[in-house]
Amino acid sequence: MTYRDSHQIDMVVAISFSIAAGLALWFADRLLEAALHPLINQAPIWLALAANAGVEELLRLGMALATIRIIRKLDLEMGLATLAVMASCSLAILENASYVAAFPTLDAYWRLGYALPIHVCAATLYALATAAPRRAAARIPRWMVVAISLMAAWLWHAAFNIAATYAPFTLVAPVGTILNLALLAALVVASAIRFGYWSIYATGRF
Amino acid sequence: MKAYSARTAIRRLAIADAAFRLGHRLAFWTAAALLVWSADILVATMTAMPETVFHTIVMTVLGTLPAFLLAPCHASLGLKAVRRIDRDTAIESWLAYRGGPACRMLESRAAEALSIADIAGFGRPRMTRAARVALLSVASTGLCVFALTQIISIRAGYGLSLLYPDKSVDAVVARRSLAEGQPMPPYLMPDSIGLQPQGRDSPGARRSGIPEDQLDQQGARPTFGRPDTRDAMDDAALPGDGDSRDGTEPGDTQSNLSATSGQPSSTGSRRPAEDQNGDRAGSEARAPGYTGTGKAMSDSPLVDYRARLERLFAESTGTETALGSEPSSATVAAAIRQVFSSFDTRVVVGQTDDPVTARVLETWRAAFSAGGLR
Repeated sequence: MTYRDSHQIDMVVAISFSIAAGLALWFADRLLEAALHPLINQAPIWLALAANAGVEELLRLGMALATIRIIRKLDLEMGLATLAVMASCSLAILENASYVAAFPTLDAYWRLGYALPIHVCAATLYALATAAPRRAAARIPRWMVVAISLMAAWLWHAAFNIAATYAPFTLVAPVGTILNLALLAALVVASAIRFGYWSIYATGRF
Repeated sequence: MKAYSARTAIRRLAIADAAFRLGHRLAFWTAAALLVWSADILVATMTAMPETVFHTIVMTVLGTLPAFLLAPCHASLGLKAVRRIDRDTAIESWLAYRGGPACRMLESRAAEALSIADIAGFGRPRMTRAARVALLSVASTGLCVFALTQIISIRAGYGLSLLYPDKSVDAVVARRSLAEGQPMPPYLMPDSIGLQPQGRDSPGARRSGIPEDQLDQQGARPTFGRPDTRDAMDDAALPGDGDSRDGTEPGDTQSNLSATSGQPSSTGSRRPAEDQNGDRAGSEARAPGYTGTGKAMSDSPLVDYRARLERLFAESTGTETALGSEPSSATVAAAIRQVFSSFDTRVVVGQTDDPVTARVLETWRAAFSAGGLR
């Protein structure tokens, strides 16, 4: 077995683990939201939605931090932090399937545009905030970057949860799809540049 | 080329290289999606796979696109891109230099190398041989499965199937008739709606005096009331016509509707006439954090069968109903039971004897029944 073969097998194992982690994250979300339900049951719906979004984002950030800890412990490439993104992607796929089971309508396809990217974008943001190398000239401490990314992801997630409840579907679906896909495209490029082209980006001449 | 231009060129190099690599990933995803999507259609064509499962698989395949694009990448991609065009390691030296007296010289050399590469083109990152073989294998397998699926779908009478195959009786019968050069059954003729009443009805058919444009709608549901009175469905269909002739209250009308149509009258109800028209419109699907128009993935086949049966019966016998003009509800219920007796499925559900399974089910209910879907 060559080094390349063993590396590919490692990747397959790592991706399988990340998919399993996504499923576990989904169950953890559900359990925690169910546990919180009695507390937020009497609260306005928008507050309950924001709280649930917060639960999901906190757990997602926890997974990102756990991933980076493992990467540092095993001295692996930082680009593997996007495994946490794949975990969130599998979570979003499972959530979509649960919505199709609950509401077997063709509208569920819109979730690919405005719901799935929310999960993926948040996870990508956390991967960039926690794992991406930083230029020597960077002044803001990393913990602050992580906190800002958490707040941004939480607000974005909560805003779309609330909009999906109160705003007309015909407005939320296309507008949300455009915004989220644009954001996802930007984060995909940013992730590739920061993790794959760091040797150029870090020089400050990029 | 000045320093600014060198920076611009190196930025363009990195973005172009990243775009190509993301393009490779997109190609892999497209090939894999084609394979799974074709296999999904094939299974749906050959088996009784539920439409919901089919759409779940399609959604899963589409949802994996971000995972393909954001899969981990090596940190050496930038270096590889630079080394592909770097003459005498001029660019790499400039990038690695932290600053000092040689900066201007290194920058000018890097600018020269970049300008030459820019004219000739930065070049494309090449896939490894194994990756190319894998991509071609998956893509060609996907194309073969897709072609096989379409052949099987056409032979089964479903026509070209790009999504869930249209397994409705009408579609299959019409396509088979066309394929075999036989005339379509009269009830499937496209112009049967436009025929004059004399040509449309069978000899002896009772004239109802209903306008032509409502005939189809009426054909979609049974008419159990007296011919000279409107039934509850018509009252519900005309909200502006508030004064019901039989003095029925609106609430009673709704309950009659539920009882008659066998479907819930609250949110989520669908009138058979609407189903027959094929618009699949339903009530709004709503849960905290989610809304939808409620457009169903598939029509209810039972409504279609019922309407079709009545139309065939009327065309073949010349009478609209064998139950008389004023059948009692018990008579109608007995007739429906008799007609659909072959649909009867008896399932005996006993209590589970396994205490472990019972405990797991109870735990599951306790954990997940409290909260709504988010």
